[in-house]
This record gives sequence, C-alpha cells and structure tokens, in this order.
Amino acid sequence: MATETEQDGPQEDWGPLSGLSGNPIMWVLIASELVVFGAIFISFGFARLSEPQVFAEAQDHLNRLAGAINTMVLLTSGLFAALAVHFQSRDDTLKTRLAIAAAIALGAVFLGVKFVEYADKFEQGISTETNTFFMFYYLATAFHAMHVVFGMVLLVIVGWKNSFENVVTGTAFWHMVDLIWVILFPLIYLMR
Amino acid sequence: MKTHTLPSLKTLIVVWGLLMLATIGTMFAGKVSDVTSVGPLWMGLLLVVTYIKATLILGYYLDLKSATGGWNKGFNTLVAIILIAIYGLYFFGA
Repeated sequence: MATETEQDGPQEDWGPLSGLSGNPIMWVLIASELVVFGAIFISFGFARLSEPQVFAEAQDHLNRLAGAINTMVLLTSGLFAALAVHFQSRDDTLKTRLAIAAAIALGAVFLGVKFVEYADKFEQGISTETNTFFMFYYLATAFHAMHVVFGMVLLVIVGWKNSFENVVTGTAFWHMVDLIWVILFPLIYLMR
Repeated sequence: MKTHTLPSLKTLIVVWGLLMLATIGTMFAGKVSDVTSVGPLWMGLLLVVTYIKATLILGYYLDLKSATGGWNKGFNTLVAIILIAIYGLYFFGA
C-alpha cells in the first residue's frame, strides 16, 4: 500500500531499537505487554482443557455481539490515533488534537459497553469466584480495560504536549491495546 | 539520523476498512449468534483472520512496515506463536 510522509526518527542511538518509530522504551513496554497477555491467553487455553464443559456453559452467558461491537469501536479509535500521527507529521495541531479526542471518545464508548457487560454479569450473580472461566474473563478483560484507561490518559498528555515523537509514542500504546483486544475477543468470547 | 516513512491517509483508511471486514469475518467464523461449538475448522479460520488483523495493526497502525531490523517479522512471529498455542490447546480439547 502507498506511503507518503517521511519523518525523522529518534536522534539518540538505541541500537536495534532505533529502527522503530517513537520512543524505543514504549516498544519494550509493548513487547512486554504482549508476552504478559500471551501468557494469560495460553493459561486460559490450558484451563479450558481441564474443564471444557464449564467453559462452554459459562461462555454462553457472554454477550458476543457486544464484544464484536467493542472490537469495531476500538479499531476505529485506532484509526483516529493513526490519523493523529499523520496530521502531526504535517504540523496540523488542530486536526491532531481532534483525532486524539475522537480516539479518546471511542475509548470511553468501549469502557461504557464493558461497564454494561459487567453490570449484567453482576446482576446475574456472576463474579470472579463463579468458576475458572469467569476468573479468567474478569482477569483478562479488567486488566485490558485498565490499559484502555491508562491509554486514554496517555492520549490526553500527548494531545497536550504534541511533539511528533510524543504523539507517535502515545498512539503506539493505544494500538497495542487494540492489538490485545483483537486476540482477546475471539479467545474469550468465541472459542467454544 | 533515520527516517520513517508513514502510511498515507488513504492507506490508513483502507487498512481500517480491511479491519472492519475482518471483524465481520471473525463474527461469521465465530458464529456470534449461535450457541453451538465453533469446531476446529472454523476455529482455525477465526484465528487466521485474527492473525491478519494483528499484522495490519502492527504493520500500518504501529508502522512496523517501515521499521528496520526485522521488527515487523519479530512481532508478527510473537503473535503467531500465541495464536498457534491457543489453537493447539483448542484442538486437543475439541
């Protein structure tokens, strides 16, 4: 696919990490988060092996459509985050901030849908102690939701202090949050 | 000083469209409105679509396509390992 805009990379020499866009420390964090969530996902797979019936019955309590809608919401917020980098590369601060605001707003929509899902589960008396499936469900989704909240705070900061490197670095975290959800959704909501 | 080539506006929007289509594909393969088991074949398809979505996010939104030093392949491989492990565990439990 076509590429268009060129930007200067980091000026410091970070060795192999210099080949990445944004602050290299963010990439260390992204790789670490992928490994941590990967370990949670694989543990979920192992737990499912020992209690397949419990997992199948418990998963039917989830709102799969809400999970799918939230996937679209988060991916669209990812588009706005990517657009923010595009606009910042052209020094268009207004459009950059608008794109970041849209990404944050969609992050809030994601959390709203998640809140409705949690409220529904609590009304049904479903908690972390209900069974192993729901222990993993709450662990993975709440941990992810905490990353969404942190990502929104980070986006506010880089929208305010909007140097090119800051915007690239802040939005990189947001895309990592997208990426984790893209794997989490089929695993927790659809695998049966 | 290194330079990074950013995806164009058109590319970003096309990638978003592909991600939306892939998500609809995920809903179809994952039988969102059904309570029956997905089955190994559909589960495999579901995870392939998930891998494609992940590579799009990594390559274009995280801009790893323009990164030097094999980072794109490295991150794609990490995602592939996670998804293969998930499928392997699903397959043995199916």
